[in-house]
Amino acid sequence: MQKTAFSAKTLFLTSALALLAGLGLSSVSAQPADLSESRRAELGRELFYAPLLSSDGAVSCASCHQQVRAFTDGRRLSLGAFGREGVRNAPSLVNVAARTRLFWHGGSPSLELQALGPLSDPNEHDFRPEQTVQALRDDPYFVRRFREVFGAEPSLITLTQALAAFERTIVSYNSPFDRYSAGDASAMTESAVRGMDIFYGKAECFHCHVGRHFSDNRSHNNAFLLFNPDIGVAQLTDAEEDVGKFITPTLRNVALTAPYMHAGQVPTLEAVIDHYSEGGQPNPNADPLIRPLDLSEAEQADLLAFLHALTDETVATNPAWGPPPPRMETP
Amino acid sequence: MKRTLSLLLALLPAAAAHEVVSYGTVSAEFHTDAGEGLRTGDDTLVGYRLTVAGKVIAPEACRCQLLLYPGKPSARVMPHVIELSPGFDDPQAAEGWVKVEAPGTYTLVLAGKPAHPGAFDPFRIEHVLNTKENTP
Repeated sequence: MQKTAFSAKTLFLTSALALLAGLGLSSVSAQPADLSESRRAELGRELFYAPLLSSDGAVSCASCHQQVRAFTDGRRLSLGAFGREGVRNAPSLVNVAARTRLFWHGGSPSLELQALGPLSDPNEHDFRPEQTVQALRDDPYFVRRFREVFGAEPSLITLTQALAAFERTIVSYNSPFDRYSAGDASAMTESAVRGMDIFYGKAECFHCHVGRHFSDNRSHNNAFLLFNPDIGVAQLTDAEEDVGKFITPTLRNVALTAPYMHAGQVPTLEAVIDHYSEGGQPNPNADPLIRPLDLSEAEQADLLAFLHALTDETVATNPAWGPPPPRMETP
Repeated sequence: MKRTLSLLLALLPAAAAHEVVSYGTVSAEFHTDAGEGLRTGDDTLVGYRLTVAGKVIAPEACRCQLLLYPGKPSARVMPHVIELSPGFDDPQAAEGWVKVEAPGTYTLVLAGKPAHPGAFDPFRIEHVLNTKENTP
């Protein structure tokens, strides 16, 4: 298990270095001036749903980031190529452009760099960078599409640029909470309004789930486990105080993204609320903000109603983020 | 006078040396049946008695967890979770059995929350134990 994790990490770092080197070169090479972000996003959408970017030809980005679940997969741990189970829960991609620290451990500062992680992870797409590029170059349709959009054959750099461009289009600010915040007093139920007061008051959830995106983009140990074999941020820092810390996830559309936490270890929102109300487990690195809240049943129900009010129903149905139309093959 | 006092202290039974560790208004008096240490390779009874603002509270007044870590507590290590029951000799205490195989230093962690909200603040108390030779 550790060996697999190590090799995945090594592969990711190698790929990342390759990409960074490539980006450095690209900055001195002439880029066509007419490359629009929307054309990149269109191509990125096709690539997002393309299973050819995996070693078994069956796994696409959309396998773990399903639109109907706000771009998560409903599984505790995601399944990759050949049915191999990963080690973490698939995070939502909604409003992912706003995030500055990607992956549960926050190890990637950009969507372009992040895309290399799952592509090369043996438990996800399981494709080495050169295999990924070759698969695209072997496909006449994608060769044509990359030429149309980037004026060049597929490459690792343009692949990640296209994927990132599509992911940046997945934006959602149309929940009952948003409408309520904009002045529509009828947008949220009375219970949800009471829950909002608890969220920003007694429960103080806002310390970590802050701002428009309901995340501080920082890492915390949320005392969910007495002991957590996944060391989280400490994978990058090796610091004792970072063991078991993970980046705060957004709460937008959280009612669609069960199960919860980095390892999907909490099946329901009710269980999440109950955990925080109880004050968590005595993990040595538990965030000091986590303390017993002693929420009553009614308060827990109201808090749950507020969390449901963060769901933008159009996220699951917007055709712009669904599977692309059938390929228009070159005659 | 000083020498007499030292002699008296040295002759006091081990039980009188139970260590008391405090966190806010909560204090825990730890004891082990191995003279404030842990026997290697054999079961050792460890326990505690809680006081809040100087007043002893019953074990059921606290939702407590007693954990044993090898060395210092670390999030990298799964602690031994000690199964607690009311003290055999002292019903106001809680106690449980642990067995360690390797000699060295261990840390007991007592983490607690009040059974009734507001009775006291949540606390986390640590108590270091060393192993002792298991002599028959």
